[in-house]
Amino acid sequence: MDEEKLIPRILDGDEAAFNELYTAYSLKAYRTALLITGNVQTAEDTVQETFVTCCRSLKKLKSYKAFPSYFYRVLTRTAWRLSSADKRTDQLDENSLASAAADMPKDYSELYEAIAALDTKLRTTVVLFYFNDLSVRDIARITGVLEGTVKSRLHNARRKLSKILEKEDYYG
Amino acid sequence: MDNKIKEALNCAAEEYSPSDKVYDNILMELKGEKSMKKSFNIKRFAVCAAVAAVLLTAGVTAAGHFVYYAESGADLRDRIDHAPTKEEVAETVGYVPKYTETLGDYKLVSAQPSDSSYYDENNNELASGKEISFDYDYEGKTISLFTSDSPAQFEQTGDVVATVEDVDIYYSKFTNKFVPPDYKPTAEEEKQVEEGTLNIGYGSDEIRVSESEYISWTDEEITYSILTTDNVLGEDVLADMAETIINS
Repeated sequence: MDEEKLIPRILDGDEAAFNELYTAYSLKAYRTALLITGNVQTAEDTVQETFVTCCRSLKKLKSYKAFPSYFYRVLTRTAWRLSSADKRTDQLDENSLASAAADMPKDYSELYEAIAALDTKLRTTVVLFYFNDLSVRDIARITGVLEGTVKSRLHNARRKLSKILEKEDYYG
Repeated sequence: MDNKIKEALNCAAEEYSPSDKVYDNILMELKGEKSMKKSFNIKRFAVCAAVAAVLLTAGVTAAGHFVYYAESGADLRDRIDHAPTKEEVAETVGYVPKYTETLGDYKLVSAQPSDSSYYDENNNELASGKEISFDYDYEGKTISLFTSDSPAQFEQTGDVVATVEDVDIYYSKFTNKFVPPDYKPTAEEEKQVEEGTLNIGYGSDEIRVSESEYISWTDEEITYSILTTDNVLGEDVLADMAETIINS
């Protein structure tokens, strides 16, 4: 994906260019939002709002190379906000990813449930690091914290998951 | 353990993909159209049509919540800058709604035809055509009577506050908030939008808030509504105005 060539085309109103961008980003973005919010509908709303926000702000980007980082920064914040709103209005229902975890292999479902139980900031850090394969530096930029904070969150998340897994005798 | 975490996340998410509507909605929003969100509520149809007019009047773009109404334009060049005769109205929009020269202290001063379209939850056009609204002035304040003979069947919104000649009159009150394009509503505001007590219009240079009242009824297949903004008259006064029009 060459954002430096693609973004000027999108700014010129080239729908095919937007289609390329959407195809390249949407699936991973959706699954990232799903893992952060835990809700199918909220994840779709997050992706929709993220694309709209980012595309409307393309002109403001100082460097098109920064688009991936900017995109995931918007995605993360949108996911947090919409997820928070859902909890307040009790909209978690059959769209909840947790309800689908029962269909996963037992080892994975227990570990996923432990990840889902982490607080939002820890869970987001885990998702960006393990699911999106982003570096500590990139995660720091996306979540707006120092690299040390990212490392600390990863450490805390691993520690909590280890405790839960040992308790569940995860490793047999 | 690192690999186990990675595999668990992949396993949890791998069967999920965004639906096609996400792509369509994004394109619609980017093109300035209205997208379908999960909060679609047909009961807000009528009020949203009128509120969209307020937002357009105020020079901002209605946000995603007005997804089921699109006004293709109220061309100010078509404005009738006097109290129109029924012949003028019929010639302009093809139907003649009930309207009066006065409403309480307010006097009819002008009328504005517009082109409008209505869509269902699947974004299919239900109807389109011309509509007309009438502006009444009193001491520098304006109230507007919107009329529509659209065949789109929409429900009224709000509480029934009076019934005249078997016509139910509905009343509701809400807040309009005009905000910059990058404004992010608070969780409380999103809840109010869901409840229909707050409407947010994006595109304003600065945040402005106004209060609106809305009364509506359907009489002989024509839908009527009176909207006030920053000029709260109360449900009794508005219901009296509705009765005046129904009996005219």
